Amino acid sequence: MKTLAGILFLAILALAGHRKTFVKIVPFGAGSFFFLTGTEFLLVGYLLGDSFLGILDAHTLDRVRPVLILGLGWIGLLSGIQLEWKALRMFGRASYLRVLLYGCSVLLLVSVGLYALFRVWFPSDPHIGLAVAVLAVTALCTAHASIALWMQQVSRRKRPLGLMLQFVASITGVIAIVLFGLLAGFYHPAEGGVGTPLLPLEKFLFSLLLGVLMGILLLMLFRTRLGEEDKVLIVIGLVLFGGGMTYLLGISPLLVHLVAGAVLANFSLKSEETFQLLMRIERPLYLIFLMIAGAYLRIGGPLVLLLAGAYVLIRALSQGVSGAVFLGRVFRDAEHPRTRTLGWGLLSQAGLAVALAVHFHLWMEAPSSLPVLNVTFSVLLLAILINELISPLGLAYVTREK
Amino acid sequence: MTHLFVLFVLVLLQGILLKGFPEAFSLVEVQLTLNFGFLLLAAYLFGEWTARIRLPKLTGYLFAGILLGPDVLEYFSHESVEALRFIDELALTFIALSAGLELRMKDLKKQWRLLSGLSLAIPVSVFVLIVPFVYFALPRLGILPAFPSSQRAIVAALFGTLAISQSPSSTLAVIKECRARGEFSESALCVTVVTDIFVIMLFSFFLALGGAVDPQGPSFEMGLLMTILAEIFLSFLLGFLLAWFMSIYVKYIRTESIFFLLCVAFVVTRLCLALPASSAHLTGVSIHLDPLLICISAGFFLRNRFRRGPFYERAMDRSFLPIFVVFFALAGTRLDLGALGSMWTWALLFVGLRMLGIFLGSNGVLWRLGAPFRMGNFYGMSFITQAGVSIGLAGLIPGRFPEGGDALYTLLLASIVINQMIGPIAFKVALEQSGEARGVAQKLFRRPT
Repeated sequence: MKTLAGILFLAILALAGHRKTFVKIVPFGAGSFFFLTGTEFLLVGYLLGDSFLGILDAHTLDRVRPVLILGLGWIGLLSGIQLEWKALRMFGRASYLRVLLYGCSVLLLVSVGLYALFRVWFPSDPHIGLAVAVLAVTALCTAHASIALWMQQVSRRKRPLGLMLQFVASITGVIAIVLFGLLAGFYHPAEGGVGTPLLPLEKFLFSLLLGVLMGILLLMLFRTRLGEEDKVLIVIGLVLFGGGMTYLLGISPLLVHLVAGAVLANFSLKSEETFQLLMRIERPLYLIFLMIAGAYLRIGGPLVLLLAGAYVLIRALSQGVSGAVFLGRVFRDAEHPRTRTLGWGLLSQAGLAVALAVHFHLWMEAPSSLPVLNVTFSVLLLAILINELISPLGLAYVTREK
Repeated sequence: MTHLFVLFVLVLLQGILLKGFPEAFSLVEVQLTLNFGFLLLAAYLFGEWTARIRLPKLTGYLFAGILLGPDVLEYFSHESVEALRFIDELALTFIALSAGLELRMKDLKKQWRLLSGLSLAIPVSVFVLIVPFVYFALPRLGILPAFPSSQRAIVAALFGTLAISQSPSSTLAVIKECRARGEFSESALCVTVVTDIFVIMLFSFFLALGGAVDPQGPSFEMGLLMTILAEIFLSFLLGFLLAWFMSIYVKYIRTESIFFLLCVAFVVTRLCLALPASSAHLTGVSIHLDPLLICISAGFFLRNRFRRGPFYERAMDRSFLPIFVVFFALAGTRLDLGALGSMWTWALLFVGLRMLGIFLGSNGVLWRLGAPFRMGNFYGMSFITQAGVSIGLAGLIPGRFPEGGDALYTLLLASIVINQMIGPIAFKVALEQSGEARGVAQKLFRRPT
């Protein structure tokens, strides 16, 4: 009965929330992304979880784990299907190089800052490296939805700036998924008979291969004449199948489906149609995903809050500095030649960052025995919440400069 | 060819994973993602392939389930099938809701003579043919033990009742697949739904009566009968309340209808599962509600009382395919081929008698109404399929009759397997020949019925 109540609660909140969040637009301003992107559902999940109401208790959360696997695959596919070469090549090779350098710079700065911090709090923990790597990779993620919403609010003259931000967010998002796919190779499950004996790099290559295979299967099926319901069935079936397979093999569902989505985007004539189809089903699934993630959140004491605050600060500074150095002259041809503040417009972190956090949580068989890794997940979720609150200020700053 | 190639790749991948990680297949994460996804895709592709050879897709889904199930290729163990049961239950409530939505009061009134005639004549003719067969023939053939005559009569009556039952889900699936629309398909579905409700009540009555004729059992279980009737009434009442709630949803929220329907289906199935224990704990009386009845009545009230049928019909039309695929593929994995193998001759005889009863009943009614002769045959062909309800009710027999109950159950299962395989094909042929398939509605009767 408790599981039933929990699920019912989730469903009603997701439905009502979808109505309020995505249909009725909240006025633009500081903190508005928090509601516009549905991030408040992380908090709702936290309230429903063991920390407060206990409706989404550990048992219930275990039962809904397959939803997380489905959600991860879905987000991966959605990210991949946006990587259409035709659209990407409108930016020059130099732009890619600079964005890549920007990503490496953010990664490096966040890693150094966090490593120093974690060394103080967890001096003898052997998992510091992994925790820092996870947080640094997640620091690269920027929410597309926030930028898109921001673009709706600003004047038409400033739209190119939004396009630049979206471009940077897309590329850094792909880098984050790929790096996370590599990190997933180091995961050695403790029980359950899942995982492969492959080396981390082999696992990574295997993920790419599997992604290509899934993409080819999707392509082959989509080549025939299909109704919308057939497409929905095929996508759901393949994402479930692929998600289950990645869970079994201990590889990243995000990476596998990202590759599958990219294959579909570049070789199918119906990729836009498929993207719209995925988007239609994604919304309620995403809200449930957020609530489940929120239910896993544990704020044990001031340490987590402190670390989350420090992480937000280090990430923002890294993005600001790296943006000024590497993104300043990327888009010289665009309407806005001066873009030195572009890094401050990339603070919003929801969406992909939550997916990576959940992915990380799924790795953990026994989080309580690994304090630093346990803290990492909570730090990440709290940081996402804080970033959603402050990101409109960053975007407003970028806009004001011109 | 593409479909077969993709199917081959999927089967190969799943086979490799099954060999490589046999232990991991007991994990819920794997069962509800990998196994579920595989079943969905494999059954869909199989269904598309059978459609090319002009068989119903439903038959393809069933065969995929049989092939991949525990009796043939063993891609799905009994445990794996059991783990996916809740998906099966969700699908059933969806289908029941949709069947209820198909019952339009206006049309029912228009065709009431035909509908009432078929709903009465077919059960009576099937019952009259089956009961003597079971009563006289089965003990002589050694299938039924030497029960006292009163108990033998009860067994025969239970058999007769189960022979009456049909499958609304299969009927609806074939109608949707053929995009059939018209008097014939509407009335066929309506008769199927009404007959199934009638079967549930009649079966409960005979089961209660069984106590009275059993020398070692309790006297006539009036309490049991009353409880069952009360439960049926409660199910209808809950269906009404659900319809009311769903109409409010349309009024105020009106978005993500498929997701909402999924939630409704989930809540109804979980509620029906959890209620017996909870009610026993709270009141001392274990209350069993039937999700099928709840959803059929909810659909009926939504259509005819709250006028929200079109909204939900549109939503369901978009989500039917995955539901049907999963439901029938899982039904296929559960079909007991062992039972069919051991009793196929008697099962064939049983099926033949049942079909004779169905055709006699339907032809009789149509003749009385002055409809063309072929229409009687079309109706006969539409009532052959048996599925969920029949299997569920048949499962109660071994518990009630420990001596010989298993043999009876096996015989029933074997006949249901045959009916489930030939029924959808026969109905599809009937729909095509009647001209109602692919949305070509025709006036089938010379005068209003």
